[in-house]
Amino acid sequence: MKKLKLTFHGKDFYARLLTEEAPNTVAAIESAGVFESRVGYAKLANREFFFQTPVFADETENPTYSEKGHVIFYGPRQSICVFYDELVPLGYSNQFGIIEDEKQLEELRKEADTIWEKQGDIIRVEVIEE
Amino acid sequence: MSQLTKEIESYTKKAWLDQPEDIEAMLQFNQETGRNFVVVLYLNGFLDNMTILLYDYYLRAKAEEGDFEALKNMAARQLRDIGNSFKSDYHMSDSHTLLLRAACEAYEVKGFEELTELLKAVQQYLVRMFYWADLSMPWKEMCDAYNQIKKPEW
Repeated sequence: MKKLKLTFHGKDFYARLLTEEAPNTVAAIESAGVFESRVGYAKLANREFFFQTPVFADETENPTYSEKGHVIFYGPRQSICVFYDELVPLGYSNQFGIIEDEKQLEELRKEADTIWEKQGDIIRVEVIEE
Repeated sequence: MSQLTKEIESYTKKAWLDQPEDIEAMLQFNQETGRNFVVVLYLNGFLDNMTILLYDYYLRAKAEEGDFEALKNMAARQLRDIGNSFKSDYHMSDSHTLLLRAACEAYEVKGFEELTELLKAVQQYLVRMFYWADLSMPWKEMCDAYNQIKKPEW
């Protein structure tokens, strides 16, 4: 099973990659190898953080109404966005991953909430095989 | 890939984790009048829109949609206008130069493939600068101050 590993604030978080629903998006992100970026907090939606990737994936393969735990790719900004808690989304997005473990989401929420207070910390991203 | 496209990609890579000099210059602008906040705010709005606009041009070039000459000329004019704004409105000289060079190159491209490569590189660069503009704004503190100001009205 392929997973997206996100490391920031010294902690690891994992999202299951939707290789059947969004194969091209997953492949594009995997092709980037291990990379780092700086996190930002969403301004219009809530309980969402994002970061730019060095990847272009222009096709919206798996348009899904965003929910807690969804990991999506926003093509116009080459960005991965993580919806980490209950929210009212802006609409449909290209979902390519999901964080299903409630305990993970609880831990992620503690870290992600602080991004609104201080943006710009570094996040490390990689696709791993489990 | 053209030499300029490689240079733009190189600028984007250099600005990936480290704040570029252009952003430092922008943060100095209008400090003496006490209105640097306006510069940061307007830059955020400007790049919010320009990244989406350039992405649309990039997708059209990639899909070889419409008349090549018309798309090429429209893209070139847009790149020129963005470049000029970088200089006059935001004091960002590296971005100004890159975008004007990109405009010149856009006028000269021979086909959709060249245009796509150029627009892709420029768009990615603009996204990077947009995120640096975003990081320059103390959003939480500004929202808190705004809420205090608006409270009597609400």
